[in-house]
Amino acid sequence: MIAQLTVHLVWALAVATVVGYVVSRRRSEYLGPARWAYTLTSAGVGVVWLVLLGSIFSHDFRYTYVWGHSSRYLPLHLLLASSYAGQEGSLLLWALWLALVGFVVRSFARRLGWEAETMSLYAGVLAWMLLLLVAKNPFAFVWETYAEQGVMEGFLPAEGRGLNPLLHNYWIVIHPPVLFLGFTFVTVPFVLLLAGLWRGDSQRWAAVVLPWLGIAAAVLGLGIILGGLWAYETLGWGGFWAWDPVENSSLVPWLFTVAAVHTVLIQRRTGGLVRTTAVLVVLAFLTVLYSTFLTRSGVLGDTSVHSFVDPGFFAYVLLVVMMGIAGGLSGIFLLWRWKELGREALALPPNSRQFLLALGALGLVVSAIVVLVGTSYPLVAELVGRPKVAVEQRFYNLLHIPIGVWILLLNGISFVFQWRATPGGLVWRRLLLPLGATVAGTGLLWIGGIRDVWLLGLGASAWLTLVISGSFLFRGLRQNPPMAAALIAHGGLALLVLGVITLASLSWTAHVRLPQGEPIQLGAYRLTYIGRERIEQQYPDREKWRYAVSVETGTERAVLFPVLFWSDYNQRQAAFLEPGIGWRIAADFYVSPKSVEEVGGEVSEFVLRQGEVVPIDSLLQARLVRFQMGPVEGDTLTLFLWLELRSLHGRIDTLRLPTRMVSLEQTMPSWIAVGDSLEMAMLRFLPDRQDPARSQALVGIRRNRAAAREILTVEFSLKPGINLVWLGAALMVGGLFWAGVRRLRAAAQRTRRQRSAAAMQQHPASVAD
Amino acid sequence: MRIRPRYWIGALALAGFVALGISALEQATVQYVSIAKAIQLGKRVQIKGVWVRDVEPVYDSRANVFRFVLQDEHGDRIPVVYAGAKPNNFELAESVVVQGHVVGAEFHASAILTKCPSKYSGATPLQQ
Repeated sequence: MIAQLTVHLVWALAVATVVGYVVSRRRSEYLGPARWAYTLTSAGVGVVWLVLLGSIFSHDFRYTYVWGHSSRYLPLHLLLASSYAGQEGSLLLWALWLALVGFVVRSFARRLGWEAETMSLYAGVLAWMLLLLVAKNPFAFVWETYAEQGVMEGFLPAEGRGLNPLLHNYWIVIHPPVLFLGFTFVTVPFVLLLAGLWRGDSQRWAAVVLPWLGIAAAVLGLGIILGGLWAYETLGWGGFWAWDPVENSSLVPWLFTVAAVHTVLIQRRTGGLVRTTAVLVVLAFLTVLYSTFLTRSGVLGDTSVHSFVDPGFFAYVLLVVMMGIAGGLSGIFLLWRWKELGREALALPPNSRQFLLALGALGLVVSAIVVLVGTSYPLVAELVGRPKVAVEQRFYNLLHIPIGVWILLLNGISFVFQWRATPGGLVWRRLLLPLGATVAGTGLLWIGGIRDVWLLGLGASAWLTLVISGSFLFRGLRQNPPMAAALIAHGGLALLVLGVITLASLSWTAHVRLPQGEPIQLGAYRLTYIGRERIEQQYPDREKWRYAVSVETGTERAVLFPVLFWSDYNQRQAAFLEPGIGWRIAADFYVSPKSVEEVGGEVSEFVLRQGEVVPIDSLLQARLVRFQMGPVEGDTLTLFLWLELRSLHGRIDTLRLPTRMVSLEQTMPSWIAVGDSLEMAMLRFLPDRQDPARSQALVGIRRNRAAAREILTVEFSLKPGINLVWLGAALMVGGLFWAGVRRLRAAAQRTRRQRSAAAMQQHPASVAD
Repeated sequence: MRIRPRYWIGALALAGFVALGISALEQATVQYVSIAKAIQLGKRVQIKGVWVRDVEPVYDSRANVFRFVLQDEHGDRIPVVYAGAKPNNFELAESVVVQGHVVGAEFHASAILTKCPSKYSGATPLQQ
């Protein structure tokens, strides 16, 4: 109750910040209070997050959110991740990032003299985010959420539902925060642009926005790539990108941002393309909102593997209204200053770098539109009353081959040109060597076995970029850091594409059954299922096994550990599967588990009644003594069956057979050894409701245990080029980040110089200190 | 006014790309239909439904084939054959979407999407 009131209060503070900053444009005495209001808002968001985190760590399952996303059996890092694993929590994380980044933005805008405009808009975005949190209360109590089920007020569930086992991975600590930080940084150029337009400063914002665009592209890009790594490492489908709507909706703002990075560079050099840049910056922000809408409103529920549930009508409306306001506001600002924005005529001779950069940015925009169309098509089709459809991956793949060739060619060649009409002779001289190397490199791809013409074309353009960026870097453009950062980023993209091509055409997969201890030869690889080991035994809500599989070639041997994870989360009905990966430089080994079964060792079944003696074989007799209730863990109950075994020699043993049961049909019997060659288990409990004393048990006997063998079925694949993908992605993001941070520093120095120059003119004496 | 060749080339390239895009979209969209409709069409479609719990889903590791029975919104049922293992989260799925086409009396699926009350929800009823 108090926590929820705090959310309301923080929201009100954010609104007050907006009002304070807007008023302070005319009356500067309001600037101080507005700053305080912002600081308090941020602190409030922090407090709200800490309260949620505290309730998670103290297992306060009275809160629906805590109950629904955590349990007592989670390690610290996953408890931390629970705080943003759900809708409400992830909105809160986003608000927290906005609040924190806001301090950096505030000091940046203050130095610039744009604080009032920038911060009123920025706080406006934060206020909307907080309004969503007000609508989607993270502190709802279970008796409020499940009121119609008659949950009593004050009820404290004994245990939480826990976190989906698919999310039990260290990547959940890394990927979502980085992605949300990326979304946060996309907000900054948007806000600065609008602030510039508001102030009537229709030119300077380009220089102001550039470093923030670089940082946004770097952080968002990093977030997207980390998502890919996570998918590769845990989901077991072996890929890193699936054109899933949720992935797509974070890619689109990234593409717009990167396009804006390029047009803003043109603007700095030539003064042109101002309007284009402005529109791209706005689109990047709007698509962040649109992506939030798509992924959180449940509208794409049927077509995405990321599953989301309807957040309630109010939040849905809020998101649409927020998109409308942000779009409308930026539309008004742009139209208001449209003429001034286009003041400088653009000089774009076709043999200049700016022309090629513009074409490259066009390619990025086309790519963004393609992804946007593909992602929204099912929604649009439904809205206009056409039958429900889904868009398959090949739509994106097919269209991105020509787009990829286009972008990559320009990506490399643009470096060869100058920021003015470039003489043809110079271009050819600079291109000669790279072209030769490209032919050689493409030949290598051919020899490597790539025969698809389109893929070869894509590969050739990637080689060209790689050779040009590599040779320019080598030739000592390191004295020119902005150039070096760009070369690294572009070379990284080329490596990434080469990796994707290699992976797409040269990886292979085989389906194989591995009986324990028996080596199976698969081409050049020898696979052996060695054995299994139980892990994470300290958590009673799960049974997690690590299967050791060795892969041997003539010269090397790697042991991989795919995991099967039975969890109370799905009542242990089926295992969650995690692949085992052998990281290698040239090509990863990838073992994706499919199933485990036991063969051999005949099982026979018989029914035991209370008190009845049943012969098991010629030597043994069994008698049911009693049933005993065991511990209850979540939905699972353990039932013990006490048996008396009487051997022909007169020896009597008492045996306890535990069986974990979710329901009468869903049981997980434990096999207990009897002597050397027999195992017994209670397969089913057959209750008698009238007379519990007459309840029966279905008992299984497994003979010849030594002959029983476990067979692990896996999909084994070789992933060549995957490390090029990661390396290329890292270089691309690193280059963007370097460029962004360097420009941010330069901008800070510039404003400092300007201010001291201004101060010198006004008070020459005071500068001495 | 004479239009410069640059714009002609640009317009042509754009038109070409848009045409390619439309044809790609037409090829790559798959309709959601009922089982009856899927049988009638015979082409690649998607069916949304629930998997029938009285028939146990079986994964045959030797053939690498997963079989289960799907029931659509109209109550029609069809056996589904999928070349691959049982997808993660299958048991939890409140609904499944299969993509593929009808061959004889079976639905040959090339992909199974499971929709779970999992990642971003806590919609499962609370047990006291």
